[in-house]
Amino acid sequence: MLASSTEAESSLISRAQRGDRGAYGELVRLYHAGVINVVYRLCGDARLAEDAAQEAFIRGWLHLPSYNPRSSLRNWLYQIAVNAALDTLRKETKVSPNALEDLPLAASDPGPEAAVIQAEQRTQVQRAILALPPSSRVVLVLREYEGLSYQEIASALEIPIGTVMSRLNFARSRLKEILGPQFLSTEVENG
Amino acid sequence: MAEHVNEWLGAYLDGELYGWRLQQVERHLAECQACSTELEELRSLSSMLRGLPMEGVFSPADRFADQVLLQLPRQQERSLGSKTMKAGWWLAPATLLGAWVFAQTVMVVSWLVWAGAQTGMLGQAAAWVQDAPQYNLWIHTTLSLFNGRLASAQPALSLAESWGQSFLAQMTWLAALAGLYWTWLASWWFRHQRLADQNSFVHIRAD
Repeated sequence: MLASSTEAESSLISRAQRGDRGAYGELVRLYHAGVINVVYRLCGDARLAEDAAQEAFIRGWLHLPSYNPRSSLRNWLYQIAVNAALDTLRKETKVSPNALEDLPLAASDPGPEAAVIQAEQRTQVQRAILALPPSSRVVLVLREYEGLSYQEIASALEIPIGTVMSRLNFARSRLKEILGPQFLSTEVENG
Repeated sequence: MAEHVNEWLGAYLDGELYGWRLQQVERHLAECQACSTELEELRSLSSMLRGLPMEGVFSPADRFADQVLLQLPRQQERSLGSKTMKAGWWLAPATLLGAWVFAQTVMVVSWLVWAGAQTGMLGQAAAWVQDAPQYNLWIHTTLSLFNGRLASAQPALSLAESWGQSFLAQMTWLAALAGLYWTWLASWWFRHQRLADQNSFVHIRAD
């Protein structure tokens, strides 16, 4: 089953590399969710994420002839998606991470309703992620949301595994610092 | 107690530790409360991140794919081989031009040096040039006809002969380079015509 799906994907890739748009459309459908997830976590905004994802797939199409089929298409697309998301963020000043510093990050005013509290917590976590430096944020997103191994992240971003580990450590400790121990203990209780 | 293992806790949580390092971290966690607490915090953070839903409206995969397909450029970027071939088309005339400029420069400079040596303008600096064969049999014959009365004309005849040789050599070079250039131009034109035909076919089919 797995082998046949891999063969089908290889066939789609091969056809798309020769300029078959239909085959590329199938690949877009196949990797749509993963790419959207990555770019959304990097951008923190649905509209920006869709723009970045579209840009990523267009770049993917343009560079597909130079893609080496022996490597993972998913990781290759994630690499393009990460760059597209960061480019989109650079262009979009509205969600500049610097602006996030002005926003309250501690859960000091949770409100009466549990739903309101949860919504606020989600916003705070998303903002904390966006406050991370892009290099660490990318590694965190690929690990936590896409479940890529360190080796896969290293090859997707073309960095050493040691760098993956140190960036991930930095991202996590920075998040803990931003969110505070109170936030984490709330999460443990909720969980 | 052994040193804390904070820097390895993330990798331990992610299942990325193996061998003796894994055993070291596990042994340490069994006896260190601070590191165990830190591990729990990391686990909690990870769980919180993964539980974070995506907010906003996203297009379904099918519609998204359709939107992407509508925006795809007509042509993909060429592969490395095609790029090299494409560069080769422009490299060919550039190489020919470079060869022509080089040949011209060498000939003009050589002739000037030789002429300078013959007329004595370069003095001893070009003595080595004067040792080289300077004129042909026809100059000897012409001079002998006049019983050496034209001996003073020998340098002028040598210059004329040298110039003639240079000129002929230049003409040969130019003819060869021009032949190669016209061959390239004809190949380029035929290739251009063929690609234009192919593109017009693609446009018609796409429309």
